[in-house]
Amino acid sequence: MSIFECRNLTKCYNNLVAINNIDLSIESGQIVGLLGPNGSGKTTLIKLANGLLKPTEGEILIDGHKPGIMTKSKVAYLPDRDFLPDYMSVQQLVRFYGDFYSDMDFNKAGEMLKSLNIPHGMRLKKMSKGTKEKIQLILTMSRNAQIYFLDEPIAGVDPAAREYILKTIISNYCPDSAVIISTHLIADVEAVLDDVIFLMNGEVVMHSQAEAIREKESKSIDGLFREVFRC
Amino acid sequence: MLGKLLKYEFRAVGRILLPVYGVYLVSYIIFNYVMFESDAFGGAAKATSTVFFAMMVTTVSVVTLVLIIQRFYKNLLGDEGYLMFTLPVSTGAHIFNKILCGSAMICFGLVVATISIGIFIGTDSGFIYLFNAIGDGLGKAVEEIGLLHVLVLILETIVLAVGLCAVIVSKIYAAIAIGHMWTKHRVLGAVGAYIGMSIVESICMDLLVELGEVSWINDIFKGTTVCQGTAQTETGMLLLIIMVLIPVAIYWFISYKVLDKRLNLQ
Repeated sequence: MSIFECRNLTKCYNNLVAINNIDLSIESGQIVGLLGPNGSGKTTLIKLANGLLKPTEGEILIDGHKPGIMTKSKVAYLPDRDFLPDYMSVQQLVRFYGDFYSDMDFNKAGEMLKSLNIPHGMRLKKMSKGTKEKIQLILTMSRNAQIYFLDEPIAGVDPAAREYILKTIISNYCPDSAVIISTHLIADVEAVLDDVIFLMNGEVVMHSQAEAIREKESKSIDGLFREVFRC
Repeated sequence: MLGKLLKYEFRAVGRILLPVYGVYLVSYIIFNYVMFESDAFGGAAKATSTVFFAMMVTTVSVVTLVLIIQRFYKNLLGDEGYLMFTLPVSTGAHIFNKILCGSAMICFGLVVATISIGIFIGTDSGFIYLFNAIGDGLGKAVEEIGLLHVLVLILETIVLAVGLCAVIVSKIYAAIAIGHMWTKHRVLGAVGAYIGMSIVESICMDLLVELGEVSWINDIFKGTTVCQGTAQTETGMLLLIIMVLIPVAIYWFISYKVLDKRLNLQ
C-alpha cells in the first residue's frame, strides 16, 4: 500500500485552482522531490496532506487514511516558515515534541543538537534565522515518522547551512519511511532524490525516478526543470 | 492530550500574566500602605486608593483581554498554527483548551480584584476586622442552612463564575473563527461577527425572560433572588449554570466547525 496517495485531488481558493485533479502515489523507502516554480501548488499539496486544508474535491490519503489525528501521529512536517513559539527554549521544545509525538527519538535529537553546539536553555528568539531553521529541522527529523514533508527546507539559508540540512535529512530519516522535499532549488537537492514530481499550475506534469530522467533525457534534473519551466 | 495542551497553554499565559498581576498587587499594597499610613492625605486616602484601584483593574483587564485574543490568533491562526494543527490532537480539544485557559485567566483576574478589595478594607479598617467579618458571615450562613449547603452554594457560585467567563471567551473565539473565513479584513469580520452574535444573544435573553414570566422557570429564578429556600436556590443556581453552558457549547461548536472545515492558515 502507498504511504501517500492522491485521488482526483482538487483544491480551489475561491476562483483560483491551486491543485487540479491530481492522481499521485508514493511508496515508502524513498526521497521524493516535489519540484515546481512558485505558485505551482507544492505548499498547498503539503498543507492538504497535513490536514491544514480540506480538499475541494477528491481525496488525499496517508497510509490509507484521510488526514486526521491518526495520520498526524505518523507525519513529520517542516513548514516553510518559523512555526515554533519563539519564547520556548530548545530543551522545552524537545520536551513538547516528546509530549505529543510518541515516535520522538530523544537520543537522535540530542545527537543532532550536540553537533550544533547550542545551549539547551537558549530561547528560540535569541537565535539567528539559520540556527532557528536548523532547530526546526532537527525537531522534525528526530521523529521516527512514516512520512516526512519538508516544505522548502533549504530556502533562505546560506550554502553551508544547506549542506548541513541535507546531510541531516539523509542521515536521520527512517529507511522504511518516505521523505517528500518541496523546493525550487533543484541543483542543491537533486543528488539525494530517488523520485521526482514536477508540478505546474496545480497539475503533475512529470512523475518519474530521478535516475530514469537522467538516463532518458541525458541531462540533470535541474537542467530538465529549467527546460520545462522556462518563462 | 487536552491535559498536555493545558499544561503548555497555562505556561505560555502564566509567563506574562503572573508578573503583571504580581506587580499590580505589590504596587497596590505599597500604595495603600503609603496612603493610609501617611497623615498628609487625610480623607483623600480612600478616594485616591479607589481611583488607583480602578486604573489598575482597567489596565490589568485590558492586558488579560489582549492576551486572550492574542493567544488564539497567534497560537492557532498565526504561524504557530502550523505546529498546533499538525499535532495529533482534535480541533475541538484545541478550542476547548483555549476556552478553559481564557476563562481561568479572567477568573484569576477576578480573584486578584477580590484580594485588592480585601487589601483596601483591611488597610482601612484593619485586617482583623476583615477576617472577623468574613468568619462571622460564613458562621452565620453555616448556622442557618448547614455546612453542606454553604459548600454547595460556594461551589455553584464558582462554577457559575467560570461559566460566565467561558461565555465571554468562547464568544470572542467564535467571532475570531468566523472572521477567519474572510480572505481579507479578518479582524473587521471578527468584530462584525461579535456584534452579530451579541445581538442574537440579546434577543435570546429577552425571549427567555418573557418565557420565564409565564412559566415555572420564574419560580426557580425567584428562588435565586429572594432565597425562598436553600434547596430552591441550589436548583436555581444549577439551572443558571446549565443555561450559561448552553451558549458556551454553541460558540465552541461554531469555532469547531469553522476551524475544522474552513481552516486556511496564511
